[in-house]
Amino acid sequence: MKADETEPLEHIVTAWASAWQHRMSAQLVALWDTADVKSWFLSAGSVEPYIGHAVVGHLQRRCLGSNAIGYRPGQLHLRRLAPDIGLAFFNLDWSERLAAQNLDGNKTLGGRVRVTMMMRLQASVWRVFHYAEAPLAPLLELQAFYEAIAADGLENIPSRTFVPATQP
Amino acid sequence: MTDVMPEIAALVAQYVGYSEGMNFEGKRSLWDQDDPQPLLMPEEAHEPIIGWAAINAYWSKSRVIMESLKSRSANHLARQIAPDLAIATYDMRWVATLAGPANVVRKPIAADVRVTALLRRKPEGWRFFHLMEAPIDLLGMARLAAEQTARESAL
Repeated sequence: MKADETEPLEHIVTAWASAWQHRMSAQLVALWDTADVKSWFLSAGSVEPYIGHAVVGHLQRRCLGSNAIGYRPGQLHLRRLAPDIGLAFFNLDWSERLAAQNLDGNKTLGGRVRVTMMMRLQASVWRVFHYAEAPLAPLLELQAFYEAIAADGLENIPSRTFVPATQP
Repeated sequence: MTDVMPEIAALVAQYVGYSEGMNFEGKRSLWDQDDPQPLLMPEEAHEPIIGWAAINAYWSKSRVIMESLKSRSANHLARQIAPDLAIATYDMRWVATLAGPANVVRKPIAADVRVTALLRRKPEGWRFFHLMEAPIDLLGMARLAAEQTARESAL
């Protein structure tokens, strides 16, 4: 595969990541094929995929609903499947701090997922029309967390600051 | 573009059905053997499995790790995206019993994944060349578990 065949695909992944990093929903929507009524977006945390026009609303809500987003693709695997069809597969390290108050005190959450992204070329412009995130099996994620605690050692119980409430 | 849905849905059902008995030769026969870089992303793998040597090694290892495996698929969607390319999505439930000592009782475990598959039209029919299994993430799984507990306790 010649590098210049996959270069435009890499540019789209870079632009897509930058748009997430800066929570620029307009930029994300511009990179999405909004004319495709069967376009598909599957988040790692959603039971249902977003399809067609629902994708735009989801992208806008995600950007508005976060105070900070980290989006770092790595180990890109790019293929030009046809002159006008491209495939990107990559590992994605992500983080997010939600805007709404929640019980976690708005701590930043994060993880790694694997992404399949499909793009098509129309009128000299590449746009994404299929995006799916695949986390590691939850059972293994949990096991890895237990292993990380074990590696941390017996002595490293997190310290707790007890602050009595002054108001009922 | 023609409606590829019936043909691909049947192919997916056949492919998923080959899980029973861990018939990986059957699965392999439904992949594009001419593709130099097939990619398989199982949910339990830490890295994508790329190329025939790696995929064959993964399937061989699966026979050692699991005592039994069965899978079913549902909610198939398929669309042609180029004359010789199609994309398919479907849900798959797998049920497996892990291998282990005979004197240790093991219960089957199961989960649902959302699959994205890419297929290429070959003279013999549609064939896979990219397949990714996407479970819901740990937070989502915890929420589903809590919802199930609430349903069962009916408080």
